[in-house]
Amino acid sequence: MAGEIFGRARVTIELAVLGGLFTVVPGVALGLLGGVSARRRGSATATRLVNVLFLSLPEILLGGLLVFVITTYVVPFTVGVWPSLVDDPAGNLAAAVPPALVLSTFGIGVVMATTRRAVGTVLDEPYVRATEIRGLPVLTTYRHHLWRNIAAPVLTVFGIYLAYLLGGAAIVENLFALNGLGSYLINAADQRDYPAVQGVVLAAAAAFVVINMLIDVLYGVIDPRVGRRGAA
Amino acid sequence: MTDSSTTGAPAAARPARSAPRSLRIPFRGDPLGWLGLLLLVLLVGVGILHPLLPLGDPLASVGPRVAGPSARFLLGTDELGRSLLPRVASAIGVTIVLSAIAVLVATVVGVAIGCCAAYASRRVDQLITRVTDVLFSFPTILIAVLVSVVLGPGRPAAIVAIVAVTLPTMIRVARAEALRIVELDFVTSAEVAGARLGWIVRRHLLPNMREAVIVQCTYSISLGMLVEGGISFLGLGVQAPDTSLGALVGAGRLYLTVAPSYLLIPGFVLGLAVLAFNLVGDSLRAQRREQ
Amino acid sequence: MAEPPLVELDDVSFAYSQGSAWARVRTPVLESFSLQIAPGEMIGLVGESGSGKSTVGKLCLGLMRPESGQVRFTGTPMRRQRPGTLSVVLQHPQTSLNPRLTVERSVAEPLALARADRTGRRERVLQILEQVGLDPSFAQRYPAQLSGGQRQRVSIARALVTEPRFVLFDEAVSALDVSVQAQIINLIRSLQDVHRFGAIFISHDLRATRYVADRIIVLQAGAIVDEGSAHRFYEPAKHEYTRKLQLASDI
Repeated sequence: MAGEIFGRARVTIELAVLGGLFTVVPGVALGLLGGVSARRRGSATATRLVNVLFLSLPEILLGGLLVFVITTYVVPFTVGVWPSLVDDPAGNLAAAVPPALVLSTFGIGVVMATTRRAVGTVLDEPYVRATEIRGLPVLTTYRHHLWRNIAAPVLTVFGIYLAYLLGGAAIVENLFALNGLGSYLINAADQRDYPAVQGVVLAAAAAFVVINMLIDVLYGVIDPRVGRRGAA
Repeated sequence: MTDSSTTGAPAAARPARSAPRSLRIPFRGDPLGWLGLLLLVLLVGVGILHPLLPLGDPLASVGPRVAGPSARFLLGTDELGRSLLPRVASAIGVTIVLSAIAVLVATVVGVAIGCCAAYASRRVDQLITRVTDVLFSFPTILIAVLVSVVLGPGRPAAIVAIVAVTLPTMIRVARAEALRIVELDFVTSAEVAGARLGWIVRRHLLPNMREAVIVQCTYSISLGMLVEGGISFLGLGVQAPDTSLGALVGAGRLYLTVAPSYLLIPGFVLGLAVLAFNLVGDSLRAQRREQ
Repeated sequence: MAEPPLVELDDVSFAYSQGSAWARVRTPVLESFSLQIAPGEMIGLVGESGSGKSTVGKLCLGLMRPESGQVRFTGTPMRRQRPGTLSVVLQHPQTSLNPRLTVERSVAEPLALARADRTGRRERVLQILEQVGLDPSFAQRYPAQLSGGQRQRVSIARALVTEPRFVLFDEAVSALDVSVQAQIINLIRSLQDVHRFGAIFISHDLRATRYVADRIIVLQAGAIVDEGSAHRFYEPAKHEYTRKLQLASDI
């Protein structure tokens, strides 16, 4: 069972890493864009709509749609095969990118909302407003300040999301017929194979602990005060 | 210190400046809020009133097996030849009602725990916060799978899973609000006047945390529908002959190449329902922030 | 035997402690503090922020327990009093009233807690509103429709509606405009003349306190540095700290 879990974990981990990448980059970019343009009413409404759409798109709808498109039309992606990342990187990505995209949509919405809120908080600070009134470029002046304020909450959300991806890829693995931990868990649950369920839960819990430790270390990098307090 | 002219006389009556906040029209001037409310009323209406609408029998085999939309079957038919139009309509109701019931439970429990945390000793409060944090960051589907393994698949498993997923956030919101309100002067005044915990919760905490809790409820219901969709899709939630949007998507998945509409239509409706609740919640929250 | 004091702090010490059980930081606020308030007496408590004024007030209401020493109410150790015996008027007009309740319901709250007769409540509320200078039309308003001074009047009405034995005014006028301050202070003075409740009037403003209190206690860093009849504080004080407060209050 341990070997089975380990073999399947490679699929799930790759999905989680790719999904995490697809989550954080567009999420932060959209959040910055939305947060900065929030002063104008029209663009604020558009930003909110985009954000809510990301939070509302069911994985089973987007996933089903992608599987349908890939199996019906000629596209550079595949379903149902999973070539090794080392032997056939292109083929591997062709299989991994669509499910990773599906995994990332909800996360993009969460990261975007978090980033928007952080940007809004920074822009509302009196000294930032003062800079704005004097006509100085706010974003470049407070670039470091902005990043620091965004980094911590985004990191928190991202950590939670990564743990979710590791344990929660079941739906996507099922849709794309991938042999990952998630589909293993569902099969085990279906057949009432309790030791297998326990094994997956244990693996997910271990991943959860490791991710949280990494996140704590990263906090220290972003904000040295956290590290010092932790050491005391 | 001699100005006492207004002390005895009634102070000049001001015209009523504004009605209390709770009586104002929601989403004033926010098209997204109205759009969400419109969608929500439409979907809830269809989901609850579908037996009265001329949609057909959701359980009768009346047509060909697994067919796409046609003039006779607007949304197509399923693997038993049943019309999907009435099936989707009843599935909307099941999905929304399951999620709403679960969120109601999560709200009652979450608000109770949140209020207790605000009044408990610091150690109990910390314990509640710590447990909440762990539960919060635990993978959703994992919780759902565990619940359905323990309870067996079915509606109760779906409800318990949604409660488990939405409860931590509800506790957080309720606790933060309770901590804020407990510090306000009118609560101190009531305590000095002899009010006990029950009185303060009923009279002061609940009415003043209502708005924040309602906003959280709308988000929770939409998240709950996504969770229900996911676990019923995996076959761990609602079981045949009962159906939900997630269960329909799960069934349609097997016929994706024959009739993609079987998967895409219930999936799209699920997305619309989630969107409706999210739009309403977002609009309410935006309005709260403006005040 | 002489009547016992209404409220008595007997050799009371109090400290705030922060931090974990291992590294507790103790900030003493009061050390061996004693104070007696006679029935119907209005004590003015002045001092800068952090001098321990509010702590004294909270101890008198039983909202906090002293570390050592004893708080007594009418001669017996302080415990939960019958509802309606104690009341308080606090500083912030914005948060002193529950925004969800009408003025009538807010003012009636202590009556409800004291299980006063339901039929008489409404009349009693209108009566006390009139006494604080608000006509009956205010009863159905919400706090959002009132000015800061009007809200403070409602708070005073709520504090006095049960005819309490002891009232704490904790910076009750500090957040108001100066002209409104004068009105509210006059109101408190005239109500006290009628109802004869015992009270502590906490303020950092010696001038206002002098006008409203019978006796004034000057507090600095948790200790009484000056004390005397209110009249005395109209003349330049002997004590250096009191003189500073007098100067700060524009005398």
